Amino acid sequence: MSKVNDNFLIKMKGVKKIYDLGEVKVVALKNVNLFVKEKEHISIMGPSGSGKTTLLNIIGCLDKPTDGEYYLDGVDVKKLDDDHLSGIRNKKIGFVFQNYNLIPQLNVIENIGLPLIYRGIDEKEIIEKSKYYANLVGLGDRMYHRPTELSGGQQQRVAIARALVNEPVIILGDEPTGNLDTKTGKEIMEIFKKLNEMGRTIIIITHDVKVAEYGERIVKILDGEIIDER
Amino acid sequence: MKGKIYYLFRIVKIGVKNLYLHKLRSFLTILGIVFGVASVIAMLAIGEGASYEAREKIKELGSQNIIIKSVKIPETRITQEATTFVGVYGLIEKDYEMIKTIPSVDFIVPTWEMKEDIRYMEKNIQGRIVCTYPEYKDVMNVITESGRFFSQIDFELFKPYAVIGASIKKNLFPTEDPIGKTITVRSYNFKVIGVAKEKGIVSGTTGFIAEDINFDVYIPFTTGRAYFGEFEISSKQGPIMRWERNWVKYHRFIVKVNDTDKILTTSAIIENILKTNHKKDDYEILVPLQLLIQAEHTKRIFNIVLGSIAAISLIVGGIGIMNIMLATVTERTREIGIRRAVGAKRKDIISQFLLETVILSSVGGFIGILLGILIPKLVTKFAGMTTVITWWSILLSFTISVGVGISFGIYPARKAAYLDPIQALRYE
Repeated sequence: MSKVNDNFLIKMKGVKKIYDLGEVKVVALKNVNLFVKEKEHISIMGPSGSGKTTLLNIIGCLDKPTDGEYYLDGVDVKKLDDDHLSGIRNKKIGFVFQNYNLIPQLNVIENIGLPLIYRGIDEKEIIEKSKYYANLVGLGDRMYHRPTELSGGQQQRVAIARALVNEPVIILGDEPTGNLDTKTGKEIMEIFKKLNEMGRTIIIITHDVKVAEYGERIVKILDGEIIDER
Repeated sequence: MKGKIYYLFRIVKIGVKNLYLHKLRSFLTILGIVFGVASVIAMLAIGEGASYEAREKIKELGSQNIIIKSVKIPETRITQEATTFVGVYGLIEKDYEMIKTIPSVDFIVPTWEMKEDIRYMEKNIQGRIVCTYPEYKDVMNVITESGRFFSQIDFELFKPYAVIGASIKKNLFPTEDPIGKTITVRSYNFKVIGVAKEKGIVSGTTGFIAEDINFDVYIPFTTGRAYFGEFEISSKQGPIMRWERNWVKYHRFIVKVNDTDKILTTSAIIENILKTNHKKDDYEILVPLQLLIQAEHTKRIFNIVLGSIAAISLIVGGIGIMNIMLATVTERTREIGIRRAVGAKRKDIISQFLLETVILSSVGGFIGILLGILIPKLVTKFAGMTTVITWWSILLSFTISVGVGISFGIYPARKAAYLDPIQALRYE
């Protein structure tokens, strides 16, 4: 794994993603060049089907590009196998999804601590860290509740705490406010804003202009290509 | 290392939690394994018990012995008086003399027996009087618990001595020491000189000879002949009381062969001798060793049949588990996606699902063991059959059930691990 000597956290050059569905080939990303520095807050905007979720999945190492270069924190992702990609997701990425994606059988603390159990950290430390982040997102009094006993906004806070618990280099949000009302959505975005101020790199996909406005930089994507950056 | 233990502990916890969440489903899932394991243990215990009985009985007869018995056949009546039948049957002097000359025969011990009341003071019990030679003690392995067996000298001097079986002692002398006491058979008195040690009571389930030797009374053959003669007298029930008198020279020969390898040839020679000496089929030859071989053979077939049935039921149980685990994987697709997104490797997912099936099958196996121990106990209690629960059957069935869990758990677990995380996350 060669370290590239620049200060970009994400370096994408000519990234393509083609889904081979047998008879038809669907081009999700045509040619994406994206560079993200540490501590940036970026919003990616685009209509549905534009390829923004595919882009986020590739950034988050859930998916691999068909072609092109992608370096994350200096690591050439294309060369990694499934186990290493899992390791990267575990250590460097924090995901926040539109539908929260919490495990219903687990309580708040257990959901937050989920990434840590795949690191072989001891139980006590996991609980300690999970509690710390539960408090950070304002769920100190809901630690032993199940996701179904929480409101949408509270569930998304759990998801954010889970994305933070492994101290990732980057936090990815896939329409994190999509299922929330305007007021709660705003609260969630305030948390992201605060995290960014604390020094976290944040990339958020949205088609809500107000949400996108929180970003220092807005990247617009259409038909698998970046059409505007400002 | 410490981390790994915590990790294992955690996935075990998660597994138990998930299974506990679907109590009824988990319970129904393991039923196949429960019954599979229980049937393996129970069937083997019953089979083992049956062959144990057979082996014990055969061992009691002595594996180096050949036993020849007189058999009464209905047509032996020769004269018919008003109230008395007189018949002749069984082994004769000529048989004795001829068998004695076979080179492979160490010695031959004859007996003359009768069922008779044995009295002591006002107590009374029916037993079997066995008039025999001193060597009987050795060939039939009679162990005296107290006192002694009668000797060659007692035999030659026609001593009225008796060695009583454990059950006779229990009935006639529940509290006293019987040695030196006098028991009465018909009108003859015998001095008790020894008590035989109790021998395992063997019920008739094995299909041949069911005699309780604990009710035997051994007396010198010479004394018996002098007192009781050679006529076997028995009463016949009917409209009028009738007596049947049968002339029987010997009831049994116990032939000890000097070499186990020669048992079968010796028994063939004996059979030839008896065939020439007897016109009728009034004898029976028992070869304990042959019975033992047969019993072992039967047991082996029995075990194979039982084993196959049990194996099938365990496989069916395994398929049941696999079916449920596949349903679980589908149901938990989203969870799998979440776990993969936060960094679970494929092997983490595999171990989680595999562990759940292993927990299921081990719990099933464990309950099966308890049930498998209980069933033979109930069979023993209510059907009176001997059952022997062997450690290896418990170990074997448990190992198989866990093995079934692992082998039928691998496919669903792999299926879960190889789901595309992106698809899994979108799964509704």
